[in-house]
Amino acid sequence: MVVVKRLGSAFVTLLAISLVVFVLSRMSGDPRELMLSEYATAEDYELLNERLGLDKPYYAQYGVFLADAVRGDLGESIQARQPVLTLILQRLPGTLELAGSAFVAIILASVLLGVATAVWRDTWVETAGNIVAVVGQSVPAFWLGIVLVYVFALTLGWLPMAGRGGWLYLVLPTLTIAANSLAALTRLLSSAMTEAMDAEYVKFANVKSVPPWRVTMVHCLKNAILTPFTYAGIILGQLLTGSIIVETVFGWPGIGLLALQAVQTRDYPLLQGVVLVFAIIYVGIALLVDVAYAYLDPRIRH
Amino acid sequence: MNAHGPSPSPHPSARRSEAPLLEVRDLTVEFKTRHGEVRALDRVSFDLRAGETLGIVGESGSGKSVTARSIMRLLPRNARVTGGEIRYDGRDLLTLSDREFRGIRGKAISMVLQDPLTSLNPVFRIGWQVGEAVTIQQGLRGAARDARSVDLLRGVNIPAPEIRLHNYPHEMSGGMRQRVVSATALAGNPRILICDEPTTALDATIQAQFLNLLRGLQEAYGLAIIFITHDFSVVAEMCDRVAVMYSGQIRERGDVFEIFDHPAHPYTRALLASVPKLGETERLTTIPGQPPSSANKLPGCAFAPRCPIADSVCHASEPPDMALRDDHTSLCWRAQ
Repeated sequence: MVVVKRLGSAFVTLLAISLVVFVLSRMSGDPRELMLSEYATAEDYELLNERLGLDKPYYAQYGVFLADAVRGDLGESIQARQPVLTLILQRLPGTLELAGSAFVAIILASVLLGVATAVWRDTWVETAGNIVAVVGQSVPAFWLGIVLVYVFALTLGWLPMAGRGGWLYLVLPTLTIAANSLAALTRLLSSAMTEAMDAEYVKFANVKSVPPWRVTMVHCLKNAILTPFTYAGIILGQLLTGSIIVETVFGWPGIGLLALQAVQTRDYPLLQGVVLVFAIIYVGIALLVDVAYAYLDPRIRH
Repeated sequence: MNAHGPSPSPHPSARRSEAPLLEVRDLTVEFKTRHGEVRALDRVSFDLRAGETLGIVGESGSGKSVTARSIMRLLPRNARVTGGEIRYDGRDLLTLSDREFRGIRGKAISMVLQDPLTSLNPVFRIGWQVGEAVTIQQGLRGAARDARSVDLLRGVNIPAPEIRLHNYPHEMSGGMRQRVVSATALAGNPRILICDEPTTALDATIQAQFLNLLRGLQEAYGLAIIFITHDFSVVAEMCDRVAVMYSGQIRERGDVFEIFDHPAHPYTRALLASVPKLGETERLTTIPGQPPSSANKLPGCAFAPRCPIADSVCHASEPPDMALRDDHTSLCWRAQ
């Protein structure tokens, strides 16, 4: 039931986003200016007007845009003269790879730090965990990325400097991204764990003589992850839409860099396509988070 | 309202014998607070004999829950036992390591907590939670564990237990949940069950049902029960003996009829006078004043500032534990 309702609202959200994308692109000026050279004649303008369908009323243009988008036709990049979808699909695997490895790293590290700081609260472990989290969040990604490259690639020569290849190429960009997103998630989990560990059901688990590690990692953790769960979804969304800074520093061929190029060259069909794909990714994740949340928390299942 | 006892496994010592099952001697607990060390329990002593029910009565803050939690090692992080002994079967439980104590907790001594709404974990099914206790306490897994869980739930009169195993706590009423908690607490066939205000969070009609159930379980399992309550009328219904607590000390203890008929301590008398009785139209008596804050201890008897019969001795020095008839003692200068 939850799934059907959420699917419906996801569909409406996507429709609304497509309308915003369409309106914004029409408001950003005459695309013909970008596509034609400065020596183009009035006839050239008329011709292109017809070819792009700009002579039709706006609602008809939106209809065509929508129908094309559903068929996977997001138009053609002005710069690359290639279908936008092809360009995006070229870059998507790179982003997926980096996002996947960064997300796994973030989840593992924040669970580790969040649980440890809650279990050993008021000791040096909590202080150390907080320092790691706060420093990671405060240090800008471009700086951390460059320092990591300097130390581990240039000086020590342990890891490659830039580019995409085997898993060794993943290490430095993953660390850079993870360090930045770790703090908030760790804090959320830590306070949720602290709360869970004081709950009455923990005392009752102790009455049952449940071993302490199991009380913490099963009884408390399953309750505690509910709080940061939604936020983890937001992080996943950010990761999947690519990080412009990290992709720039590490020359990582991802979708973030593609979006940057589209903005810099005013390649509006490409930008429109990228924004639409980002929107689909976010809506998809929101849907996934809602369904998974309902699975994890029986109280909100209907 | 009878408990169809699930394999009641009678303990040899289930019948009343004179050797106490649990001996608490001079148990002292201190809390670390911002105002320094606060003594929550002060030399608390009592015995629990096999198969009997001991009531511990007192106002909130009197130390009755702290007593229960000390026995079960469930004290909060800022509290610790600073003195005394808790002897079970001749062994001092306070000297056991946490690991050794897990062999006692649930198996020999178990507990039902006050609030059935929060003692069950909201994100796990009932079957999982009861089954976990069965696995830990009896080493059963798979179908044997499920069968034993069903038996336990049936033993506390839960209808259609096979179906209930698949429920989550929020899908059950408060009374049902307290039954599930009791069934879980009994998974290890304990000899002692500590009930910390088990009916306070329940509706009046459900309370009576639960007390009936508890009596049935006591018979079926041969349980000795420590029943903690603030309600003297429940004591009359449930208990063989009673200990009255005030400001961290047991003020009076003895046979329940003896205490009801000849209360020796003015605090006990005041408590009894504040229990409503059917058919009486007199105004209920209240005890004037507030329980003392344990942070700033005065010399003398802790109840003296509220006591109607206190004299200069009471204000000057702490009263001794006066032995009265048989088993009856009272911590009061003026006890007769």
